[in-house]
Amino acid sequence: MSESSASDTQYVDDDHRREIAVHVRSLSKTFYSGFFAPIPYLKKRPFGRLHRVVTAVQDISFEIKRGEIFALLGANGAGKSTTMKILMGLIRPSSGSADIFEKDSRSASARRGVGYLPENPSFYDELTPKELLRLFCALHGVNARQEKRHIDHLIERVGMSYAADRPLRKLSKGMHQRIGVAQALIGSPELIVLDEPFSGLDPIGRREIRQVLLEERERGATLLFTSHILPDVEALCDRFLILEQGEVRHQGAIEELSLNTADIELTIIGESSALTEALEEIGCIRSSGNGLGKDTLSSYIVPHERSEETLSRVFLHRGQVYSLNRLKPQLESMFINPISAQITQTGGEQTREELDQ
Amino acid sequence: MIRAIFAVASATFKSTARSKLSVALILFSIGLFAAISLMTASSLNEGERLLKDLGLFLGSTIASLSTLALCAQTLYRDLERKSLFTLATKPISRSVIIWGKFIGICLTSAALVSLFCFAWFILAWRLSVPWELIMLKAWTLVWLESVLIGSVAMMFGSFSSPLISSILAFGVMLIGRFSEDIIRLQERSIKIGEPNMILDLAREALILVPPLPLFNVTEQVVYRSPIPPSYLLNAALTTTSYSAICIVFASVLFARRDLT
Repeated sequence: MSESSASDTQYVDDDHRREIAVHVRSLSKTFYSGFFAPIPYLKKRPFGRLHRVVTAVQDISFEIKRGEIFALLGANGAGKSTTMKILMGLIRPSSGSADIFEKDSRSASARRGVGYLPENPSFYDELTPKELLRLFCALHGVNARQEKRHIDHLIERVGMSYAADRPLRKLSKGMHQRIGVAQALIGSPELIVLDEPFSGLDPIGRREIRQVLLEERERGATLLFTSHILPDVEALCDRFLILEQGEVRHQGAIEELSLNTADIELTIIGESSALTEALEEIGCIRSSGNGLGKDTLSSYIVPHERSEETLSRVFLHRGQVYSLNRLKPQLESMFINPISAQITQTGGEQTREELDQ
Repeated sequence: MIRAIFAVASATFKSTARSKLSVALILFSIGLFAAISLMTASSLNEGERLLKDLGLFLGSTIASLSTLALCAQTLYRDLERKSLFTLATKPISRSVIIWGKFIGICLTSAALVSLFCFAWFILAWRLSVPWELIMLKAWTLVWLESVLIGSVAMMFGSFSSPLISSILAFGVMLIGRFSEDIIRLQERSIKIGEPNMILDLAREALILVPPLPLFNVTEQVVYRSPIPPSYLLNAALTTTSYSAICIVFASVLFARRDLT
């Protein structure tokens, strides 16, 4: 009996593992800088502590399921890019581990089915987009016969056919970004990791790239990306993780947030003192209003869990609902709150400017 | 793996050959050979010797220094411009990048030496110097030397800045080129009973430094002494083995580096 239950658990674990595209466990990264920084991979520090220590990420853990779109969010310097670089094997973690499709992310084989777009990508300026993609096709082992068709298709998908033979140095930042997205899609990867994919793109470009990413999800690819453009994040991702000063502040599903947990702004006509009392009793906060009476408008912030009860109380007291709006997306407020906290803690305009950058 | 190495090599070659540095080198070489032409024209009966001596010396020095500079800064420049991020995250090991880049720069160096060789033969034709196979062999050795020095610079460039790696590689080049003089001076200092610690150290360092005088055949070219194929083969094997060791070291060091 116990043997059978043990083997069942084993099967469940195996299935679970197969469903996971990215598995990050207790990941930390500390950088040492300065002249007396310890020599990498030597445990002894000959010059003691005469160096600067920066902890970029600390004890981060998360999982991304296959076929999911996952967003890493956080202010500048929160550790998003460092996490991505560890995942892509560019940086070694100080502790913890990161697996891609059950393989250590540092191994070349783990990157076989992965496409990556770094933040503000830069390529060999003297090459043309076609030459660049040809290079990356060779590195991905794309069949030489299919190479040309694959490159043409990718260039067309990112809307760069008209500039495919121009040297990259003559292309704008947005065009570089599009080529960057194209190279990340070489070989139809199972996992696509994008660091700020919408950076430098105009609204049309953003829409086009968003469409490309949605098509990739339709194909069955898993997407991990960072972005500061929160409406894009809300429109695209299934789950998100917010980093703050290298630590996980929050992680969850976008649907839960936007549908179930956002507060509501309720505007009513014909408020009476009994209605005011009834609403305040269940935690509604009066945000604006020009007195009581038949034709007056007043607004309330309604807690999301009390929305139905609020409406029934309004109707019970013969009030009329003028409008009902979901307040600022929860994701944005969750993203901004830690930043506000940082400003409050450190104070001063300089911090605010740094964060705006 | 071979396809990946040659893809990186081809991209490196195209990228370097189309860069402003190459244009500057070509213009500089044209100026240099124009100057040699003027010097040979104004020298009495020494034109041929001057052309061979000065042409080979300047050609080999420029080829070696430009290969050294390209190899010392290629990884750092790519890292600084972030173009290495896309390359290093492809399903290849970092050694593929090192080998590819090195081969690409060797091809660039071959193109540069071919250009020098062509200009040199044009000058020789203008001075009515008879064409000999030995001259072609001498230019082949010039290229082999530049490849060897490039590999040393690549090794230093895999873990340090372009300035430091250039200085270190230049030091190796100087000690290597003057190795025979260092041995002679050190032996003489012992003979006269005044041992010199710097010379002793330089002599010890020669164990690690490549034997660069092997690639200098100016004397044979000037005096038309034959260079047997075995000599050329020996030089080619020295370059191949020494470069391979340097590039393997570079690969090991680069594989352990954080690319931030």
